[in-house]
Amino acid sequence: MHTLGNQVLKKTVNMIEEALFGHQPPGRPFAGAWAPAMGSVDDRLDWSWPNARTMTTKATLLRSLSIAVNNRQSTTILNEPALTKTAERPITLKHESDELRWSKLMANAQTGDEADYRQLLSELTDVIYNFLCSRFGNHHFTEDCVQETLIAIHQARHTYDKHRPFRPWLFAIVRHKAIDILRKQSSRQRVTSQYKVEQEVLSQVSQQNEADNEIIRGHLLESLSEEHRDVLVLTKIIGFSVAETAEKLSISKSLVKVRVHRAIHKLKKMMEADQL
Amino acid sequence: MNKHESLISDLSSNLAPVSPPPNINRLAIAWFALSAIYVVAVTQLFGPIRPGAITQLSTEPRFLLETVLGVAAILWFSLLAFRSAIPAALTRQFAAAGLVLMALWLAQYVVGFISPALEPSKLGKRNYCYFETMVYSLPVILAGLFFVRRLYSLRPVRTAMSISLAAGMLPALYMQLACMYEPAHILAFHILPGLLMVGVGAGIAAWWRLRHPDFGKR
Repeated sequence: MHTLGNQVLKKTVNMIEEALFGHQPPGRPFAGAWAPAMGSVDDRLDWSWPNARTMTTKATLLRSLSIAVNNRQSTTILNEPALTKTAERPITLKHESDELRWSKLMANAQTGDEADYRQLLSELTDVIYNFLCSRFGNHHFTEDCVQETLIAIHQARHTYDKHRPFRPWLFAIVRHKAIDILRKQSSRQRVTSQYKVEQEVLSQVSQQNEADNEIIRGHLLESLSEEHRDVLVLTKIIGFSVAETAEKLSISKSLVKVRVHRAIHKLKKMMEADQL
Repeated sequence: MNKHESLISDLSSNLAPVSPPPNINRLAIAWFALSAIYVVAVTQLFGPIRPGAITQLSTEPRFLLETVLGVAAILWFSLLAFRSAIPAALTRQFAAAGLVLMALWLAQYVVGFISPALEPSKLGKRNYCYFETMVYSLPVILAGLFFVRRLYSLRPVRTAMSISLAAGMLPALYMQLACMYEPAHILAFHILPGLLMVGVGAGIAAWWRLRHPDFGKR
């Protein structure tokens, strides 16, 4: 069912893009040299996820397409035949064009240009969202983190030097905020109605794997060991207390705390080593 | 997405112009230079330097090497500390190089237990070199924290510790000229109080952050 759903959705998106951009790439519509040149839809929908069907909601689709429209100018440039010979070059060029544009927008924002600043933050929202989604999955945490990061960017905007590259500056803030929010998450334990349902699901052993797949999508979380991932997801993402987590996993509360601490430390190391 | 849009709208409305960041390397070098002048002046004010210390710099190459390594390590750490107050301005390699340089300098004194750069003697001994090192570095630390207060340090306490280490080592290094030369004395009465100032700086930053959560974050 998932495969069928993915195929239907791919075709739909493909048709819409064809209508928008007036061309269709040969062969696989979302792979090869064309995909990085687009640099938007394929990245954002991430078809490889086991639950892509559930993720590709109408909102996600529309957001992805709006980004694709925003990127239309760079897409046009990048789709020049000479530039699409290799898959790497368009990515580099797109990064460079983003880099230059963001740098310029931020320099204007420093002078008080509201329109440029609004445009910059709008573009960065998507970039940050996708960055976090690919690493942590799509949770409330991701949404919170995007907001906190935007505020941090606002507070730190005076430290951006237009002579330095923009991306390292941006992602240093994003990484720091992500870890910071994970650490602080315990102080505002929340169990949303969505996760109350999740709790019921978790209690049923037979369905636990399915629930895990829903929660764990980001490659950083996936690369953690199972014991670290379990405590992190339960305490920081779902929002269970340490005591509840200890009870669910049949371990002591102190062991939960130790594992959470180690898991965050590992995540921090992995994020620092993350090459963009 | 509506949440994000309303936040973006809030952040971008009535956007105040901000000054671009100062050249962080120049700022660090200026802080280092002013601090060095202050340390030399205040040390001279409370007592003369060891007789013949300046001459030894030209006649004893290893003593010169020790001193130059000290200056280089402290200058590097100053740059490191100020760079850490701006996101992504400090690379891991730069930080590692600073630590290596500092370790190399301090290793000279450990090697000095076996083969000292100068003949150990009590000539020029200052009675309160331990406290002098600590007291002289305090204004330097505060000045450093003052300079970075409007930047955006992702790890303010770590930034404060780096500043404090550079600040603490400045008088410690100058005591090499102003006080007696003996590796054990240098490590225990000059370097150790300099290192202790790292804790003091971290404490000041932590205390300040409790009162002003935006410290180091505009």
